[in-house]
Amino acid sequence: MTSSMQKSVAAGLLAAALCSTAAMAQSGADHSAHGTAAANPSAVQSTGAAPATGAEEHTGHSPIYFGAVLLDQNEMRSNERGSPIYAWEGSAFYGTDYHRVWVNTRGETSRERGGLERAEAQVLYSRLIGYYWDIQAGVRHDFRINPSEGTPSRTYGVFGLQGLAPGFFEVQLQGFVGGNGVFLARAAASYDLLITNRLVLQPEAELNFSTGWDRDALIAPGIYRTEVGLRLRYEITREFAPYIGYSFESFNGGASGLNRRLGQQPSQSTVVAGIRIFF
Amino acid sequence: MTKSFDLGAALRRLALAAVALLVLAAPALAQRYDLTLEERTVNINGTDRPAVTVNGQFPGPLLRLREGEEAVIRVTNRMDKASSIHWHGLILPASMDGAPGFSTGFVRGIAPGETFEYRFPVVQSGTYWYHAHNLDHEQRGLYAPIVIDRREPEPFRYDRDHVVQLSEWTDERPLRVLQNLKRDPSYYNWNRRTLVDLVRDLNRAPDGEARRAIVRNRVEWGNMRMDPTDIADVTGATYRYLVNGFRPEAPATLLFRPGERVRLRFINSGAMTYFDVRIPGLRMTVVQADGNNIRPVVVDELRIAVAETYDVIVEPREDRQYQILAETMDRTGWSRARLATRMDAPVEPLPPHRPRPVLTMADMMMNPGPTGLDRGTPRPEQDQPGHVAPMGGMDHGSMASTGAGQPQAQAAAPAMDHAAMGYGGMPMGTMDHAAMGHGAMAGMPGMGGGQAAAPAMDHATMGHGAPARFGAQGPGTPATTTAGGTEAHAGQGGMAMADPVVQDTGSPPGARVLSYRDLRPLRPDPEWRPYDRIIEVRLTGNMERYIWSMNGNEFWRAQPIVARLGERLRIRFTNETMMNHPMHLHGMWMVPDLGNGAFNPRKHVVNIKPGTSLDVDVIVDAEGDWAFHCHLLYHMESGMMRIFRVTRDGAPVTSAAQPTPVAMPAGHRH
Repeated sequence: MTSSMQKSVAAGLLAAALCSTAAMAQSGADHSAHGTAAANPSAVQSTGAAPATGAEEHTGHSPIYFGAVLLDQNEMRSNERGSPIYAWEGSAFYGTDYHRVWVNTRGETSRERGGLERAEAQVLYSRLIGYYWDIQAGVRHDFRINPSEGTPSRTYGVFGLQGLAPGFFEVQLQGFVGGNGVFLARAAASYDLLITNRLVLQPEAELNFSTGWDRDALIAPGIYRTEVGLRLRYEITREFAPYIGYSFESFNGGASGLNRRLGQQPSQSTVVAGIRIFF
Repeated sequence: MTKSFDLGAALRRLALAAVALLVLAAPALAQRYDLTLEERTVNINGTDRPAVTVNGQFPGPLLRLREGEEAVIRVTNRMDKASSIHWHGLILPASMDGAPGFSTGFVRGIAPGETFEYRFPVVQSGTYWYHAHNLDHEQRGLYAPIVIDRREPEPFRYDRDHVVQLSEWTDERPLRVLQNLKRDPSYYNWNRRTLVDLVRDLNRAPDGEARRAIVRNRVEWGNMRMDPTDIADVTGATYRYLVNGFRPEAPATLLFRPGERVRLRFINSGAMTYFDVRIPGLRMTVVQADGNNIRPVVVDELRIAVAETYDVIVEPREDRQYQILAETMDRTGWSRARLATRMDAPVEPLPPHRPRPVLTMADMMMNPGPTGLDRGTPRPEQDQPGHVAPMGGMDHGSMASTGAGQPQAQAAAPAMDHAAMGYGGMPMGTMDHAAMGHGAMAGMPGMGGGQAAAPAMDHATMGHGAPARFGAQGPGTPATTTAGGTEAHAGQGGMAMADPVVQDTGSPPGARVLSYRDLRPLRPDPEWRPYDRIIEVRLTGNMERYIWSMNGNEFWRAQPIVARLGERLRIRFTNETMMNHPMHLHGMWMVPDLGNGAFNPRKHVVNIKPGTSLDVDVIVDAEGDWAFHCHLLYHMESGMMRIFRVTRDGAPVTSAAQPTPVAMPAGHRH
């Protein structure tokens, strides 16, 4: 367990290193420029024909560091059975146009006993590779909330691609290595359909794929879990948008059997209501 | 006796006074000003916000100078951050230009508590302005007019003189606005195309073909991942637009007496806003542009790009109020002042907004990507990732398949006479555009006149055989009229791309709108000659992430553009983005090539329209490092700026002596 965890962390770091090696030189330049620009030794800057009185001296024009937090799903989910649960899915980043640190997190509370049912967090380094795309690498950790029940904790190395596909689809593709020797993949896409400029219908879909069994974590070969949702939000401001919607989650294939064995429904549809937060 | 003594004393006193006068007169030839920069509270929208003031004024006080004398201006910074004043459009030594980090000895600007003495000879006349050369201070009010009186009398007559300084105000901190744009480039755009618009457009469409064109247009914009409603990055959602610091609700009142000739000095001191200016009931005689007198030209409207100035003369004859209306290009707000015969005239209501323009596929047509011309840098330069939109992926082939097809496209291409526009070197590959060459086009009514009609043309009409009268521009507003067409310019055969200088303000038919081609100096430019070499400056950026750059490199990564003292350098601007960019060069004149030879105008700001290309000559006559940037402040702050370095030693600079056609990159299919 521990060794597999170490392995996956190492894999994640390696992936991060691989995809950022080329970037590091420039990344370094970014940071030195951020401080005293006069000391910038960067080869990117001109050392050309004219005396070096140029870009090195400019102040106030270093790359801009900025960040954002988006809590895309921040909602109560309810079906006919049991009490409603709280679920969230969000992300945050900080950095420059080219290099960013992303934190993605998601989870939900337990229907039966309250408290957290599952929670996942990712920390990723993200690098711009094209007009619409970033490549990302880092670490994902699934938390074990209750030592006696629920899914066990897992740590994966992550590599991924995130961006905007033709047609204005927000797309995220991620691969996970490490957790008990299986390879996992996740594809997620969403689209903002503007009914008016403030009323936005957002369909989204997510597929989870595995190459092998990880029975404790309810993972089976093939597509083992799907999630689709439809949320209608009203953007009172860009930052604050209450919404209602519908969400359908399903364990597929072998995973549905694993779920049944635990006495849980392999699929459930819920009505959701929440507030999207962006700041 | 006493009397004569008294007389002598008086004479002596007179002599003394004369000497004193002479002694004092020498420095009096210098014009001295003291300016103090301070943060003070203003209340524009009902909330107290910190503005940057000059001598306690917001906007700053008018600076009146005289041509041929020396200006001595002491600027004291009483703020807690370094600041600066740049004399916009003035020809002066590099050390006095006031651009922190560029100007010699002005690395960090004016530090808090410090005083900087600007001292320079005034070698020109006209309307200019000054402003801080940083986003935060300029957006918050550090801008003001400069009027330089001509040594000789003006070549036109006027009785009265008013400054009309257009600007905008936001209650948000400018850096916050920039962050908002970085996080979400459509943060301030509440006018995007919606499903409701689509349904309405489909209902209005006359037939099935038109409906298909509308849907196809939507799909194509979606596939390009571009937003045709992105006319202004920062809109009336946060801006309040001002004239001389006054809101449109309580407008500035400019007095006149009926029958007088009134000179209005329009200055666009906005950070991000283009204004369409008109005065209902009056025609404007434009007599000066960017401080340089031109042959008077009578217009109904003019579009003023950010940081430009235009002087017009109007002759209000009636004893009534005339509204000076400056509508923002994206139609989300008004700036206005009024000409009135008395201060207490009642405020008239504002007219309804004109339909807002949307970008068309025509605006995207000349999106060539790297062309391979010399970029004027000491060493070759590569585009950074993410600066060039993947237009190769834009499947123009599908457009071709919907219409008449390739043969016509080929046939149509030669019809576009680019040489006439001074684009000898334009890669004709870009013209080989199936969408342009449709048979439908030839049959379009009213299109023969010329280029001017092209900007209003929608892709649906261009590419898919839909009738020209129907503009499937989608967002629910009627197609903007092609009044620019009233000024059809002969010799511009073809209609492929948006005309680089004709402005479509949505004016009523028959109204005359100023274009750069109307700007002809009174006398031929004495320094006119063919250019020595040509470099390319592609205006690049990423609309999705709010990255802005020139030639694919933001300021802090980029090399300087190096020019030799004494040469005439031609810059071939190519706007690869969907925004207008008002390009500004410090310290030297830019001369856009409008096909008028020695009668091309000298300007300090040249607007480059989306998807167009324009050749601009620089008279390289000032040594030093100069700022060269897009005057949209948020673009400049995000990196759309370069050092323009003028060297004397004539260090070898690679150059292409003559423009050469360059093949399109393989990725750019058509």
